[in-house]
Amino acid sequence: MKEQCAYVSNIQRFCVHDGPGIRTVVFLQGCPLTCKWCQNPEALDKNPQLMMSDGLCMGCSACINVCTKSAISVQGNKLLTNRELCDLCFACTKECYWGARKVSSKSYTVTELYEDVMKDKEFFVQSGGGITISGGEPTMHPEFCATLLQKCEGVSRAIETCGYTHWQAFEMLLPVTDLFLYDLKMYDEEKHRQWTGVNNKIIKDNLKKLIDCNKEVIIRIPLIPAVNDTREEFGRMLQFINSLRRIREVHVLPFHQLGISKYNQINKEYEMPNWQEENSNRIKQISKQLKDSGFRVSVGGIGFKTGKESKERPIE
Amino acid sequence: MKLTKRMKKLKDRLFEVEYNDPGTWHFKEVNILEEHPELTEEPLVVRKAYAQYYIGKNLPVTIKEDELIVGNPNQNSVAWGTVMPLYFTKEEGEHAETYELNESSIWGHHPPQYDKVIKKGITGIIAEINAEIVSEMRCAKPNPKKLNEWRAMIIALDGVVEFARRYAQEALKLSLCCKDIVRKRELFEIYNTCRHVPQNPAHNFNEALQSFWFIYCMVNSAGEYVPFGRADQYFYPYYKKDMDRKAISKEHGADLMASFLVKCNERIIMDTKKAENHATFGMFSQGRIPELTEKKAQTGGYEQRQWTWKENEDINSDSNYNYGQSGNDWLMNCIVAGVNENGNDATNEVSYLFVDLMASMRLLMPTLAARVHKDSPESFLELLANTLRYGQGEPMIYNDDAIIPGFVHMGVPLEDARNYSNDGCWECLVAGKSHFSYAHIMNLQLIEFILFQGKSLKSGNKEAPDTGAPHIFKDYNAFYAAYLKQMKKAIDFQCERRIKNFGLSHMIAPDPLFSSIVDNCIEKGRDISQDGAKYIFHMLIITGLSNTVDSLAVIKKLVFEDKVVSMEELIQAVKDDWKGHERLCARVMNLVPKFGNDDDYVDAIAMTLMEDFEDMVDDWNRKQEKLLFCSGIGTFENYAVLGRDTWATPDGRGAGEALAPNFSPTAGMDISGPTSVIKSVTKPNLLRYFSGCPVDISVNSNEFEGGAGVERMVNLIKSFCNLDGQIMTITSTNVADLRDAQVNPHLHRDLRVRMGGLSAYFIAMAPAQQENIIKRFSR
Repeated sequence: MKEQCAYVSNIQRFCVHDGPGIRTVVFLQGCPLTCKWCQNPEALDKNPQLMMSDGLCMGCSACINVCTKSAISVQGNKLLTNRELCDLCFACTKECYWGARKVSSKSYTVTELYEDVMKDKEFFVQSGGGITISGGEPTMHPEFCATLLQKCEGVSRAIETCGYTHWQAFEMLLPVTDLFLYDLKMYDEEKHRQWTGVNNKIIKDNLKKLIDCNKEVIIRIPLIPAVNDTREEFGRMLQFINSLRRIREVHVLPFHQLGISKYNQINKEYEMPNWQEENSNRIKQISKQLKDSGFRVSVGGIGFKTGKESKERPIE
Repeated sequence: MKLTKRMKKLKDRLFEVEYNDPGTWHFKEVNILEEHPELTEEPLVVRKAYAQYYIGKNLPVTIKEDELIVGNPNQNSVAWGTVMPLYFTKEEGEHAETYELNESSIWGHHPPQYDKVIKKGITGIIAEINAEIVSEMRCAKPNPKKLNEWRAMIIALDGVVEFARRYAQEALKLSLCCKDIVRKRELFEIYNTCRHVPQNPAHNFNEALQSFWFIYCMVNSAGEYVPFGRADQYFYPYYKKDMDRKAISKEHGADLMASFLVKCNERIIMDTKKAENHATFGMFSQGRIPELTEKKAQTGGYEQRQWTWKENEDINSDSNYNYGQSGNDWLMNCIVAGVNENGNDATNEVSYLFVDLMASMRLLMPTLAARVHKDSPESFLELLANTLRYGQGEPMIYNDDAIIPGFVHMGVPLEDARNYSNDGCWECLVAGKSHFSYAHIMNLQLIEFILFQGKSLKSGNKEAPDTGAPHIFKDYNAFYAAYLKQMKKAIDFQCERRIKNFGLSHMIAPDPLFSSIVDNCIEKGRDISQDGAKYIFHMLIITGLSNTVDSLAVIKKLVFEDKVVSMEELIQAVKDDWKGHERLCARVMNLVPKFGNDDDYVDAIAMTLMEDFEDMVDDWNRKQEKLLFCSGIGTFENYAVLGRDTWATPDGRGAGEALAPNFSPTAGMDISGPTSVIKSVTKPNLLRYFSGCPVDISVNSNEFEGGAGVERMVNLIKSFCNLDGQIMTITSTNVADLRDAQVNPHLHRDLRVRMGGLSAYFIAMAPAQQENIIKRFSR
């Protein structure tokens, strides 16, 4: 049987914001949500995307020569790519030595990915760290992730998820995952649909079920000014979190617009370029509210749990 | 640590006064033969001793406000000119010059036995010398050379006593007229201390510090750049004794230590324009037999010294480039903690004080390193981690468990191996028992010699053998065989030369003072500049390792395996400094694996190269017994200037661009983070690289926040050690701070950076150096 594959958009070593210890984060391609503030828009589609950085292009025109669809043309001193004509064969990326043209992700078998991730095994074992699968959305590839995490037994295994998936996906991941980093974006269902493209009922339901399974869950809130940091919306989110049992830690992830360059690279419109970025006062207030409710709160997500704890007290 | 009132005052004086005007140098106009014509009859080594005595008698004596430890050495950084009074005749000077030697041809680098001075006092050492003299005189034919060396040692040691005596007098005088009752008592205490040490054995912590400092001052003032060795080990017994009998409070102990550390910083030069370019290798001549003289810049070559900033030239001119590295007591290194000679952990309270005070007071000197091992106390590792995550770049980390076996493999007895320390840069040696020197092997340029059949593109001259027309190599193995031929030739040249020139510098630059406190000079009656020391190490250094390995990878992959670039094409591109070959350059830079990314393809090239190198060096240990030849990897802080002298290379590096520092990946090429760098540098077996292959790791400070951040740093260090890594610096900073420091230097006066042996205040570095540092953090 052919081994399972998945498109991986990035393997980032020595990550510190995605679980305890020293970790490697695997970013998978494809996400069921379309959050307007998304930082990794190239990973939304389930298929690899062509990414172009004009700043790196030296105008050597090598890409033009290999494009069988004549999708690339010279316009002044810039190269233009007609995305309607492009059939995503990626031949041009192989000719672009400057890295101005890139594929957003590469296909990996479980074994290949496992070997790459485990290059830092020494650091995982020493620090109580391990692997975090992020995305995109890992639960879109439940079997792939479950097989990979199964192989990674012995180091800490985390899943960073938006929660929008069939419960069966979680059922597959539960036995092989030590920690879930669970995104909670909004309580209001209609607003959630408006900003992320989907209804959040299933997200909330899955979260409750996951907690009932006695799994360690950290809730992560991307705090978007005037979207979910309002008194009303955040109040409801807080009420919801308070109603959940066994949540001990909440991460507040401040909004930023650094992802805008990636939108440009895939010729996609970024809807929030002029959105107010600064909300540090509000972050402080919200952190305090969360702390007052008894949660450990981290802004930015570096976390509190040390590798030592995760080594000494395995998740019950 | 929270600074005490005294610490704050001392620190303020340092930053506000001393850094702006570190003072002048002395004695370069003095000729002791003119002052004492009768000395002309004496052998040179004795005259040198009188010159050292002269320094002790004439260095200015100043006791500064609030300090508890006193004394300043001559301004003897490379930046500051000839510090010694002249002690040789015109003829002797001219004769030495034919060997490319002069009075400055002192090697420094190795620490003396400070602990011996602290424990025995100068009186004790002189007694030891006298015993040798008595026994020699009983011989039928006493050896006059030995007797003169011993006489010289005694004269020079008397100079140290004289220096201390003058400080005692000054302290007494100040104490008598001091109105402040507290300071009056302190000054009287300084009088008592200086009256007693270093002449006699130290009794307490204060005396141990003062004794150490006086001996450092005098050795350094006579031109020898010496590190501190294992200073925490030397001080601790006295600290413990004081604490046990409650003679001093913890706070006073810290104050004493702080005062000592401030003394180490009073000669720092913050103004890059006042510092000298020491990278011309002017000072450290090892000498050459006149017949062998080649006019070629080598370590140890003697050239006219270049100094002072040239106002009418731009910052990149030959004289102005690469400034700002020598603005301190050069080579003042110190290593703390580690195991003792029995193999037990010897981390002590003074080790903690060193690390904590250096960081809390934002001091630069001594350049600090810490030895760690599998039984290092967790709290010490946490202190290191906590210090490192705030961007100090120090202490440098040394892994005992990897380094000690290397010494033993070399044949050094285990007890001595366990007592290793670093020298003035980062190389490992046995403190107080070693003579240490090194030579660069220009590994990167060896590739140029293959591609251009022995010719240097920079000079246009034939400088190496012709290993055949480059386009006829049938595969990578054939190419690499030519590389080995070039490498062997270069290593053999350096080893032969060192064997021939070792001891030459004795003709003009002996150092009886230093010799009197290095094992086994007294016993042998031989000077350090001869073969007095117990161990004589000479390290051959792979220079530009990462660039070399990356270049070999390009040739292997693109030319021989994928066959997508012809050898001719590559040669032309290198010759043209990549101009007009931009597409090929991009391919080379971006599509061929690079060292430092945990990529087996290219790391394997490094492993093979390093093994071949150490084998070739090791061969020389079977051919002779006097010198211990060992292998290292390094550029020191000279990676910029070494690169400046090297033409474009096949890794895509342009002509004149900096080399990758030490064992570190090429700047900007290590794109997979610190763990990958650590993996890459620990794949080769480093046993025979025990004398040093430091790697510089740069991390972002915001990745180490909070308690989890400290633990993460500890684990990074532990993992490095578990993987048998050897020497590592971790610098954490963020690019925004560095950029801001370039624009507003006055706001960042205490921003320090560290690369291998280099430790400097960022704002005191040359713009070109600053850019290189920023590049490392701009991933």
